[in-house]
Amino acid sequence: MISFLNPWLWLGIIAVGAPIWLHLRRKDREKVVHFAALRFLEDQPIVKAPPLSLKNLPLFLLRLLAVLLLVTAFAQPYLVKSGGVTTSSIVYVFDNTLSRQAGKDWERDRNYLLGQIHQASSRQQIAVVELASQSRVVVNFGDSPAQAEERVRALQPTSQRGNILSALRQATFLLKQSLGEQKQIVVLSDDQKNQWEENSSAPPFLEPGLVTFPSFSDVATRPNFYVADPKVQSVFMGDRAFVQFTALIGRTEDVKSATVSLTANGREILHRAANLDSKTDKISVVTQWEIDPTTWLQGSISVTAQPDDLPQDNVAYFSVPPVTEGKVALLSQSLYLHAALSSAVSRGHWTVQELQPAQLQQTLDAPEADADILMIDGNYLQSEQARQLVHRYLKSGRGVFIMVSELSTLLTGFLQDLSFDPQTRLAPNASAPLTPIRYFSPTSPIFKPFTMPDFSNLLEVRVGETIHLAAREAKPILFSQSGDPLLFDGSKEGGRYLLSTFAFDRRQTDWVIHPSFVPFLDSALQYLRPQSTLNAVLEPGEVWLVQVPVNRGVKKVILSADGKKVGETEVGPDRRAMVRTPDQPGLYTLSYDNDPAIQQVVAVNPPAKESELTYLQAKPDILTAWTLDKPADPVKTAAATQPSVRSASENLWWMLVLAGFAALFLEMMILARRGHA
Amino acid sequence: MSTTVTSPRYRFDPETLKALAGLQFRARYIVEGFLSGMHESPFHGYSVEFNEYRNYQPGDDLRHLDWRYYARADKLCIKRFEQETNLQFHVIFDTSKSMAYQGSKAWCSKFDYAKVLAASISWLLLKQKDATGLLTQEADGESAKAKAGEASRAVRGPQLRFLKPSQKPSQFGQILGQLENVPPAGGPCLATLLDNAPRLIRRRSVILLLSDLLDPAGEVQEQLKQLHYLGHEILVFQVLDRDELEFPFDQSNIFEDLESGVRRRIHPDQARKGYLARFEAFQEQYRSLLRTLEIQHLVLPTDADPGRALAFFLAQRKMFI
Repeated sequence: MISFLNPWLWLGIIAVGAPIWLHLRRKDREKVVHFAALRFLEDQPIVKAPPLSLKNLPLFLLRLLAVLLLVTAFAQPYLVKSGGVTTSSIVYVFDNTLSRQAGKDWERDRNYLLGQIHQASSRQQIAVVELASQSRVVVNFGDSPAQAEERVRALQPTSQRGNILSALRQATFLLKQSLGEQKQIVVLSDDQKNQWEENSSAPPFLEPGLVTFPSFSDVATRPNFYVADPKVQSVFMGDRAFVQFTALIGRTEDVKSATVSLTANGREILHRAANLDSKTDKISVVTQWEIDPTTWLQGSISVTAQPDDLPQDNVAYFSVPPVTEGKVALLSQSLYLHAALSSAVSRGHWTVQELQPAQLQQTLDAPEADADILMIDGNYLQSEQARQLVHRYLKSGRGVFIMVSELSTLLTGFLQDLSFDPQTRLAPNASAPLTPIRYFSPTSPIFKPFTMPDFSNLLEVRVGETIHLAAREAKPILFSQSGDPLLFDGSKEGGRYLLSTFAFDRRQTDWVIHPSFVPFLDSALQYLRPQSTLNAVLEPGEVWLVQVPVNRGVKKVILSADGKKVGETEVGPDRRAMVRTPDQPGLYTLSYDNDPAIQQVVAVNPPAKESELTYLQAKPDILTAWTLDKPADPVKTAAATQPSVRSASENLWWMLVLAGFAALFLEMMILARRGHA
Repeated sequence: MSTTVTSPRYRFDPETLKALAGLQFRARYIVEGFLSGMHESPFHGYSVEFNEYRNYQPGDDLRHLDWRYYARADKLCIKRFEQETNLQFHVIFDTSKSMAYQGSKAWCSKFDYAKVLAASISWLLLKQKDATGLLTQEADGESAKAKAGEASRAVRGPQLRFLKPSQKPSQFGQILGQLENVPPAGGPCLATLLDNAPRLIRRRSVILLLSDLLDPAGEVQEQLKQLHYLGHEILVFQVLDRDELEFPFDQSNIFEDLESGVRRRIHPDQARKGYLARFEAFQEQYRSLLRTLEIQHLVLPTDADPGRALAFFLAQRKMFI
């Protein structure tokens, strides 16, 4: 059945009068001679005026058809299912998160959904929204029952975490454009408790009584044992590299014991039983082992326990990138820095590119030769070229280590650009006694290794009087005895920087001769090294930004698992690619174009919150906060833009318009042909 | 006084005439062009002063005594020419729809041609101080404009417009105005015009009839006879288009009568012969009628030189004197 959105536009049917008049008018085709002496031609036959008749019937019909088609198109017809007015529109929110794989609810709800689609009458509209990492419309109102069934059957369980608020908003949006007199949202979910505890501050948007739950979980919890949140950190102790590993093991219900296994690069690191008493739901696993820093570390931790309704969250993956020799551009007068970074000391870790002050312009003219990190004395920043070099390093995502021992006008301006406020213009007193460092930030990646007792003791390091700086953005991570910041950690223009308030020479510190100097330098430089913005641990379905290195000309990034390609993404002109993680947890490798070399290993782990199998037994309270006090103003379906019209009847509109113009074009061609004839 | 009228030497140029805007200018073009070709003034002897006298005889009407002459010459005389030669001229103009026809070879329609003729003759007469009037008929009386002048009055019956003869200088403008404002419209009106003429023209006059004479002769026969018997001198200028005279059409078409609206499908090849025969018979009827009534008749095709009409007129006028 066809109905019309703009029935009043049928007034345009008056336009059919035009072709009717055109073809009925008495326009003589023959020439008429108006003669005065016709009386002398009485023997000639009299011509009577012909009765009104339509001339050129085919042309008339063509013109009539064109007018009718265009008027019909503008009246905007839409198809209504036979049987009359649509009585109800229902959106099913199908929870397809990881927790649904516990028990058999997923399969049950999908079958229920298929049954609802199958037995829906012609007066019912059904749509389906999938709740996953990104809510999406699986079935639209305009889809046929066959299409709807096919798409629902194609659904597969996922390992993703979803936002119920987003799914309900999507469903509400669909209902606003539906045709049914009664509207409803039916939530097919396991009603996981923590899912309904998020976004409590969202403003109300639901109509009263709109959301219904066919049923609730018949159990309050399910037994589950899971591992989550693996964290790895590579640590260097001299020439040896270690990895520090932590992970969380949790449980719901009364699972007494579990077996924990940790493997890395094919080697079993840990395998033991974990006992949990009744008062502990979560425990941490902490361990460390030595690694080969030149290779990728790829591993997993798994737990096995009984009973376990959700075994899909029993494995967590991790990876650590290899350490490669970095390149440092050094512009400093410190002999100690030159010695510490010399090949004899830093072989295998760092190579040094010594810059000459007189050749800075040449350095500027060769950006392709830039190192990973720039170490520069603050005195050289009085040169415009040196300042340009610093900014170029930062803009290209590279690291800069600035050692400021004295202030000057130019340097003060430069520091202010970095959001520093010099507190004094006086040069530090070179003869002031050296005092020990008072405090360093243990959470900073630079100083974290120094928290180990067998690592060098930083608190033995002494520093003299330094310049005084206050930072508006950078973070101080090292403090003098008097509490003045000695080292700042900041970022600017896309690159990281460290700024020290003293120079690395004997006059201002004895650090340069302390055993911790080289490890500190190595740790600081490692921290400053430009790396991909990729977080090595992601959740299924998550989208992340991959930044490819400069001067590589990378066109696409390839994601692979076990040597098989699972996806690829184009790299944009800004050297970034938006990559979506696969749904299946595991370890995936990232490579560039046709180069098989592994650029990144990504660990995709199930979201930890999905493992908390605690369920609601009644309607969630948060629905009250999301529900409007009174119904919103009804939307006239006849005036609203309706997806069903858009999907089922937009084609009809376009066909009518095109047919109308085709008729007019044909009419024009016929007339043109007659004109030529 | 020689009043021989010689052929005009000016060259009739229909394009020039057509380009002239205004009936007055066209009339003057024709008349002065005509006159410039004559080596003798046709007005010689037609003096305005009419100073011929005769001695008073007992019994003459004292109203006709020239008292000024008596005052000057102390002699009683009767003005003869002034009385006997003071003719009035009336132009009766056919304004039926058939006069609107313009053939392919004509520079104007019969109506326009007749208007130019009427204006030319009127100008010529008024220049000679002859009183000239105009009688026309309008198909729709309300279309008459006041420009026809106060001298023109609506007459009962069909919407006739009668301009009384006058020799005032302003009379020419009045005549032009009436000619300009009357359109060719309506059915045959010649019978009506001639029917009313005796009532309107009381004195013996010269009647100049401009028409295409496409009305049946029988319809105007009695009216012409009456006018003739009343002593009026009648000159008929029959204006016809060359197409009506020769029927030169060669393509089949629908012909529609200008006045009746009747349509006939004409095949010229088949119809020409019959048309010409009937037309000639029709013309012969008029010629016979006019001959019987001693009415002078001139057929003027619209592609002909209008000076010819003037020459004819002047030649006939000499006979009136």
